[in-house]
Amino acid sequence: MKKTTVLQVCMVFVVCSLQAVIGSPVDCPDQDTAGVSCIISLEKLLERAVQHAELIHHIAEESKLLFDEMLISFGVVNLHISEGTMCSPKTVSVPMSKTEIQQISDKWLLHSVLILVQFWINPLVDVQASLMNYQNAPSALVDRSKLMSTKITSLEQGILVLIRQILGEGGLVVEGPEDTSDHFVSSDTFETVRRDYSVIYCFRKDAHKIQTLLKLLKCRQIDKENCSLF
Amino acid sequence: MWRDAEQALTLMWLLSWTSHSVCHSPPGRPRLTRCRSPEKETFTCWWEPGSTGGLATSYQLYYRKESSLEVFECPDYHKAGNNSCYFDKQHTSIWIIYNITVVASNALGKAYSESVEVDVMDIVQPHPLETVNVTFVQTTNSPYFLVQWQPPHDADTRSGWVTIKYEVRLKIENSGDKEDSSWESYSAGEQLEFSIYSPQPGASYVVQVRCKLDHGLWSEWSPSAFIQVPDNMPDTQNAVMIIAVTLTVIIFLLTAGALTVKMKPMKHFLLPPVPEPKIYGLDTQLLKSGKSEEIFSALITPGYPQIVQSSDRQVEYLVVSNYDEEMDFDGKAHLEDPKGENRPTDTAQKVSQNSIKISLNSSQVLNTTLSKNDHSGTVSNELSVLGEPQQLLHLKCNGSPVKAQDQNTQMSSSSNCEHVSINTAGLTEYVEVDEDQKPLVREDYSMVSDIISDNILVLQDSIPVEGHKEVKCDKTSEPLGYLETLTTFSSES
Repeated sequence: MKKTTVLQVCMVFVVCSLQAVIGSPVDCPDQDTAGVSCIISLEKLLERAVQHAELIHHIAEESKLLFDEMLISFGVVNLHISEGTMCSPKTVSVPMSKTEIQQISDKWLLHSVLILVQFWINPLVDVQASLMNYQNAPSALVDRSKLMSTKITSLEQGILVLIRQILGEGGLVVEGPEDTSDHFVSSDTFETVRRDYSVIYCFRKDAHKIQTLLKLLKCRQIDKENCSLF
Repeated sequence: MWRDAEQALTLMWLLSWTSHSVCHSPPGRPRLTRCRSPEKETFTCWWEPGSTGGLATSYQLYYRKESSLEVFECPDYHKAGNNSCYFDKQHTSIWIIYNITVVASNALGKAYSESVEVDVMDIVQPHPLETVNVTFVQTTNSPYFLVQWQPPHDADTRSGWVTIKYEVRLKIENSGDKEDSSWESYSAGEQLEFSIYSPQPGASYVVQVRCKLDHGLWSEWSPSAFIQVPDNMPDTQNAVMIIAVTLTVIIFLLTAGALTVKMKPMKHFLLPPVPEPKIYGLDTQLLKSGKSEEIFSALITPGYPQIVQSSDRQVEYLVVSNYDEEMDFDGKAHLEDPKGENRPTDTAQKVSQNSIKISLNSSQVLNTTLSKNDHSGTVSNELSVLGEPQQLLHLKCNGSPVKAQDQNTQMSSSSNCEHVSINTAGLTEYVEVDEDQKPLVREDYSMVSDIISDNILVLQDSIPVEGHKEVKCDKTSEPLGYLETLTTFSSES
């Protein structure tokens, strides 16, 4: 009995190591080293990216609602977001309509998504830190902000991988936008609250953008015939 | 009276004048009621006009996109009906905020509504579904409703621009006495059909479906679809259930009755007794009765190993000593006819001498000869064998004539000089015992004075015993030393 079990274990080891060497199309532990020893299909990558984006958007929606409730409980009735000037980075002009979006290239899509994602990493971290200082912040809101920060960083990695695979270029290093506007620490709690709210509000919008762009990209890459291009 | 008439006239004139002026006044403020985008590509806004002021009032809608100061007017006032503005695809931008204002204007003035900020992303609400079909499927033993519908025709779900989600609800429609039951809602995901299991037989249901795009607003419920469930549920199902239940009950009753009724065969059949341990040949009844011999005789089978009675064969010689006789020894360490006149002392000395010699000749085989001479003297012999129990007879050192020798054993005791017996005199007889003969010592073991190994029994005729001393002598001891001890002994005795 012993011999057979030992043989089986050896076989399993050999098979597993072979698989690891060859590269299984199923799962890669580290996405940064993708392409070297591990190959995920483009379809799976895009699917994962879309799922990430959908999840992020969903969490952002819930965060906004929770924040609204919190503001009501604080007694702040109307927190007006003025024209959303803080919302999207000025460096990127994302197309505003479906027709426009459908006319832009994959390369442009990916780049704009990447810039958006990279733009929001730092503000989300700041908001999460700031929310911890609130006195009565609902824990659901704090948890969601944490989740958003983690998911956005992993989405960034995924987008980099996608760029490498689809466009074949190296990692695009974009200089972060000016951090001056992000790190103002105001002693005025109202200003802080307003800033946090605007971050969440604008991020929700951008999350929707990212999700839409990625979905379109996925459709274009995977299912070229069915994607309606009118 | 004239005054009253004047007052009435002025009053009437005033009234007519004011009423005339109210009819012609600037319009009241309109109000934007809602804006909707059915598919996230176009949108429409509706407003509610204020008071018209009695004059023809026209409405314009102006909008401004975020971070831009340019003002545009509504591109299409008619497509969506009265008091509406329809933004087509070219004019719809998503993810930016529209600042919309409606202006009511007539000859006398303008009225501005409150500005409304709209992001297309937030106002997505699809049209209600138009067709919903419900069918009752009764193929297997689990009947179900199959609800089917068509997607809204303008939503672009194929390219992934929007993700649609459906929801189905149904309730039992009770006509008349019973109160209305509540709706049951089911989420149907992105599929275009849905199955609802286990409908109530004989009831009539109302089914509705609605949909949602992304995280937008739910559409209105579709028009109701009605279905009536037929009354006859499959009888086979019920029959099987009934039969199974009755069978179980019958079996249960039978077993219960069998157990309670003290019928041994039934009891044994249902609950077999635990077997007791059984040994072949052993009858438990005998044990109870208490007759042990029969039991154990039954146990012993012919092949059962028996204890070999071999000890009888070993006994070959018996030595019987006679206290009345004296014996003498010679130096050869074997018995000889002693001289009769020996005194104890002499014999002692002699003994000593003999014993010395004996010790020296330890390897000799001692033979025993007996002679029945008239020996005077007293006493006794006793043999006592000292030293390590060995199977050999180590009777070397003994001066007494008592020796017994088993033919099988050897007298090779170079190491031991077991016993010393100081015999004054005595006659010992040497009795040969046949193998077959039973030992003389049958039942009376009082005659036995000593046992030498497992072959030799020393018997005595008379009782009195002179004290004998036992001296161990080891091989290294000098004969002289031995002599000394002997002499001391003899002096003591």
